[in-house]
Amino acid sequence: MLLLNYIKLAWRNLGKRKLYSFINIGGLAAGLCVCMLIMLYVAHELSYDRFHKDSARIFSLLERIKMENDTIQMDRFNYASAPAVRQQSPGVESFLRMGSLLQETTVLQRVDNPSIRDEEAAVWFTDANYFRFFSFPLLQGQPDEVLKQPFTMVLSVDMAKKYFGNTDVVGKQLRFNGEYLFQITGVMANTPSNSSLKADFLLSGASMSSMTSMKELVTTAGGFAGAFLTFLKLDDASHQDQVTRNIDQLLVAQQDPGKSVLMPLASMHRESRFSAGFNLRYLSLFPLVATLILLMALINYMSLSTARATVRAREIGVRKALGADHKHIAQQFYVESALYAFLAFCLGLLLCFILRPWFFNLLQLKVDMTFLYHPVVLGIYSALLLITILIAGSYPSFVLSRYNPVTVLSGKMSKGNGGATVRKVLTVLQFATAAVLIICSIVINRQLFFFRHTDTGINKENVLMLPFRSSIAGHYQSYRQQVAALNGVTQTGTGRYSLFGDYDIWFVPREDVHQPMFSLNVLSVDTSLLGMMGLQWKIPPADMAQLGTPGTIVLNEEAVKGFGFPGSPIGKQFRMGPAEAKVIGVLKNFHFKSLHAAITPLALKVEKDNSALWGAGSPGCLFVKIAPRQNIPALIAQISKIYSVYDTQTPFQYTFLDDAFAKMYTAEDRLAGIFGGFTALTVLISALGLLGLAAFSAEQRTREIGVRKVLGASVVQITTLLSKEFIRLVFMALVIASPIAWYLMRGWLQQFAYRIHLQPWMFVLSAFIAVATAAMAIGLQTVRAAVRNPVTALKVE
Amino acid sequence: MIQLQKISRHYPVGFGKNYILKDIDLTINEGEFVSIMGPSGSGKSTLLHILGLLEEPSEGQYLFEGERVDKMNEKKRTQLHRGSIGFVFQAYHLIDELTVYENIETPLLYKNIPASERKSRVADVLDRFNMVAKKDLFPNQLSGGQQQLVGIARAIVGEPRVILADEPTGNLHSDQAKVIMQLFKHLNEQDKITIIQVTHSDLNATYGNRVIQIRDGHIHE
Repeated sequence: MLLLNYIKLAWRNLGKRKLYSFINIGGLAAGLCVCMLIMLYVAHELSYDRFHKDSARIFSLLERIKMENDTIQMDRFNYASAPAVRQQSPGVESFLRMGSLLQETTVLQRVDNPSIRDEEAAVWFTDANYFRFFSFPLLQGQPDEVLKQPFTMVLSVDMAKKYFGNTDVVGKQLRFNGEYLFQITGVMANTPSNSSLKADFLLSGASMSSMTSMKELVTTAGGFAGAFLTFLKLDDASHQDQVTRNIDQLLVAQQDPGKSVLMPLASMHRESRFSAGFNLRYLSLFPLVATLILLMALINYMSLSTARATVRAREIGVRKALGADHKHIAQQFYVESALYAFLAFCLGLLLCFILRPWFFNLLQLKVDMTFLYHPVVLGIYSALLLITILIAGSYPSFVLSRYNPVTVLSGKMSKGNGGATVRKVLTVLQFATAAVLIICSIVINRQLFFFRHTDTGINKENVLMLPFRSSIAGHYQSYRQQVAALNGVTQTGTGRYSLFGDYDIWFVPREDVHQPMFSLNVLSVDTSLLGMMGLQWKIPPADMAQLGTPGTIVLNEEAVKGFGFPGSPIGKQFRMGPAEAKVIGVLKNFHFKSLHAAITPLALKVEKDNSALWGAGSPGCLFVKIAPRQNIPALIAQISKIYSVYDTQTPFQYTFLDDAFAKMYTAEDRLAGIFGGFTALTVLISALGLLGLAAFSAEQRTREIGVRKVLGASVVQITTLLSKEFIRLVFMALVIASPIAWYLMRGWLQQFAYRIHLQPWMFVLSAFIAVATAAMAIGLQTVRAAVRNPVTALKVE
Repeated sequence: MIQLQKISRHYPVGFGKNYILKDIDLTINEGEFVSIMGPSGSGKSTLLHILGLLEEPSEGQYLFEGERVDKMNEKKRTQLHRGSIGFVFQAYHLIDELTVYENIETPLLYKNIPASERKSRVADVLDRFNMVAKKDLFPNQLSGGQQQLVGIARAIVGEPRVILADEPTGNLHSDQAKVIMQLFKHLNEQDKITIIQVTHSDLNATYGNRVIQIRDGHIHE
């Protein structure tokens, strides 16, 4: 019965003090929401690949080969390797191989409507036992039958809808790379977001021996390495070591220097290159930030509750006089806190639902909606609710139940009571956290700005990169000429790869042959592309006409250092693979990779017409310089039209050079975005907390303010009086925060070869932001208290 | 019923002590209506707090119905509050968030009285004070006199043996005050409740049958 009374009271208090309730519950809800989102994400990360029934028994086969001072890890094996392993090791119950085209892309096309076609990445040739081996659900078709026959395929629900508009597709056909027809025998569920293996299309492995491009892969005998991801299912996970030893014997027999490794399926996500998307390096930060934010929200909640309760001290006194003991009071405030915390939790959950798509979009992560109902997530959320209620209620009820009835009833309660000291400490901690995050945000953003705006030495403006595939075949030159003739195109050039992407690597001997060889990065460009890039010469060639002469090469400064040429490098020769190269010029260092790493030795192989050199069927990249102020979409449409004449198979793709450059900093960009969000939230929570505290301080000091005004204090003086206390706390917080932020950010910046320096202004700016926020939070309340008519203030009993 | 023996209350000042009450000897019998009078700061409120077990005496003994209560632990003291003592305050001290009905019900909740009995007792009191129509109003919807009526209703609903009232009419008009004082007199005479009030008003003191003058921490009867 008392409980009902408490709940009723709590509910009425909620409605009566709207600002207070909003700050208190809203702040906690915001904190909880972020915490939930992050927990959801972390739980998702940890749940990877555990949904397979036999997850514990499935291993991915890897091979590690130790080189001089490097270890190479391979994950693709010969088609014959898996059966050989199974024969050798009785512990292997079954195996599964998955192969994809490594060099080329796959284009799928509808047969009855050829205009519906696209380039697909998640296409695998696989063994017929796929749906028995893994636990991916097959929605249509028989698990044992679907991939048995040659030229059969299973596709995902999304892909069925993409190509056919519905999922009623069994029996229909898709054309593979313009050549082979595959019959659809089944439809599978979309790959869950927490699977490292992503598959949109599965093609029967039996097809490969009849396909010219794949035949070689399945028939190559000898050697262990190959083109297939290989998974082994053991009869018992404990036989892992035994099986590893057996495979090693196989390797020895094949004179392979490597050692085999069986990696449990569940740890594949963390260890392998499958984990694309958000840069894993920053993941460990997340739970920490989540905890911090939740802690801040809870601190806020507790400090507000106790502050607020000093106003209710009289009620506590009355209740004690009416026969309540301190347990009753503790219970009452506990119930109240728990109720508010529960409301905050519900609100947080609602926010979490609403913000989830936005949040994961920002992180560029995919988390299935259904994962929200995963038992682990539900467990975590329940724990969160429990912790919140437990913590949120404990301190206020402890403090309040210890009020002495006489002091509060006779109005002798001083402002030092009600855990004011604790509250001040909490406020300082809160603002310190906020200040640390503000400084971090500033630094991260400055570093990002630095990345984007540092002079790379390459002219990146208005350059389109148009990669082309071997499917354009012998038509490249006519394609290029037609593009060059377009209005608005000022220049065209050809490169082997798009810039800020790939490059070749050669191992070349140094001038001093006793020194070990070093790796030289090589870009192949034609003379016009070299001109377009706008690179600076350190030592220009004696005659510019030399550029493009076969057998000549241009180095950057790092490469000159690497070779260690005595005297001038011009005219020096070195062996690069099968051919000799003669140095004719030296370029100033420029950034051809991201600014994360230092500039490495680079050679530019300049040709007059390099596309011919790679052979007609080779892929490459066409660079197009556009005059400023062009209608770019129209121009791209024109180019696309020309392209589609020469290549009917591979869809047209383009990137702007400056976009490609910016894309290298996606991880930092997202980090900045998320950190910005976290920072804003933290500042908001701190500000709300301060606002609440200021409001109650003003309320408590109403009489004092009235008296001071009667005695002649001005509004400004009163405001200053009330603000001083809080601003002092904020300054203390800044003193604590600055060294911590300095230490953290110095560590973060260390990882970049090119970085900004921490400067005093960053700390000053964050101090300014913190103080300004605090002043805004306090200002409204204090001014309102200060301008109030002293008569009304003094009338308050 | 109430016996104070050499009760003192002091607080430290520098190296010495400042006495608020000194060596108070006082006996109050069941059924008395006592008025404690004296100038501001004379210690009358402190005396009332000690009588009501809200404050502990620094020295001396306090016997409530023959039982030592001065060094009582919180649990027993709470029992006494619930069972035997009712409080009425100058500023009413109603709980703002509770209705009239709920305010009156609160002491019964702490006494663990079953719901049906609680209902009938609150109804009785409301009826007796003519406040049935106001039972769902909140304190700020009532006049001062009405609020104090609720305060008294709340004090007697637990059927206490003693009511301690700290200037119960201090915030009221004279005609409101008259109603309240007559109510006290009635409770004293009809319900045999012992009443101890602190008051400044000679008029109010006339409702009682005994006056205790207190000056500088000493009793002058």
